[in-house]
Amino acid sequence: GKRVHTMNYTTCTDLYLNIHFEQQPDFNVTLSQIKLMIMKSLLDLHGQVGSAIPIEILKHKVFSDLEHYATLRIPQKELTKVWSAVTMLGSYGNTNCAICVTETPVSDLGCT
Amino acid sequence: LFIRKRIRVQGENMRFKSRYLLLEFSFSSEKDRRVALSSLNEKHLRHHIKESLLSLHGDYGLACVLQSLNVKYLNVTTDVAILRVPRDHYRTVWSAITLMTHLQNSPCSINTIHIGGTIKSCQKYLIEYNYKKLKNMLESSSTGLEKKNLRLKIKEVLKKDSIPLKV
Repeated sequence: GKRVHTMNYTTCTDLYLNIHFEQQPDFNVTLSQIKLMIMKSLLDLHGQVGSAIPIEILKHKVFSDLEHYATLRIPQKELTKVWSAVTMLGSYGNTNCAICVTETPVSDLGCT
Repeated sequence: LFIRKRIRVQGENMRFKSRYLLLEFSFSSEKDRRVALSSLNEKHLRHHIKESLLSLHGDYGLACVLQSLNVKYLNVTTDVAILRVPRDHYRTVWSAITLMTHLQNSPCSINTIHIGGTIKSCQKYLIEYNYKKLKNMLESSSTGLEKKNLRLKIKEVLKKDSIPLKV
C-alpha cells in the first residue's frame, strides 16, 4: 500500500488481514471460491456498498486439506465492514466454513 | 485512611435524535404517477425504503436505521413526503432513497429537497419552495389569463400563512 507522510504521522491507505480459513473435509475450496465467499458475506451484511469494497488476496497457503492461510489487502476505511463480514461467514452453499482473522499488519512486510 | 472519592457518573442521554427528510417524487409520465400514487400509503412507502436500504446497505445498514424510520407526512396530490430518520445514520437513508428507481412498479425518482431537525423547519421550507415554484410558473406562463389566476393564487398563499416569507 501507498504510504503518505505528513508532518507528524504517516497515513496508510491499505491494511492487510491475515486470515485462517477452515472448512469441512469433503469440499475442495479454491482461492477464487474463497474470494467469492467473502464477497457474498459482504453483500449480505453490508449490501451493494459492502460488496463494492476492493479486496485482493495476496498470499495463500494450504496447510492440510481443511485449513488455508491467506492474506487480504483492504482499504483502511473499510476495516470494520470487512472484518465483520469475514467473521460472520458461516456457510457457503452446502458446506460450513469459518474464518478467523489472526493479524492485521499495516505493511506487507508483516505478513507471513 | 479511607478516602471516598465522589465519582461523577456520566449518564448517556437516551433521547432519540432524529433528522427529518423532505422528499419529492417525480415520475416519468402522468399515467405512471396516477398508477403509483393511487395505492400509495405510508406503510408502502416505508416498505419500499426498507427494501432499498436492505439492497444498498445490507442487514447492518437496515438494522441501524429501522428503530426510528417513520413516514411522518405523505401527500399524494403534491408528491411530498416527510420522513423521520435517526440522526447518526441519516446519510445512509439519504443515499438509499436517492438510488431508488421504482415506486409501486412504476419508474420514479425521489429527490430530497431539505433535511431539517424538526418537522416545522421542513414545513417552513416547503412553503417557501412552493412559493418559488408558483413564481416560476408565473414567469413562464404565456397567456394573460393564466397569469391573472396565478397572481391571485399567490396572493391567497401569502395572506393565509402567518409564517413570513423571504419574498
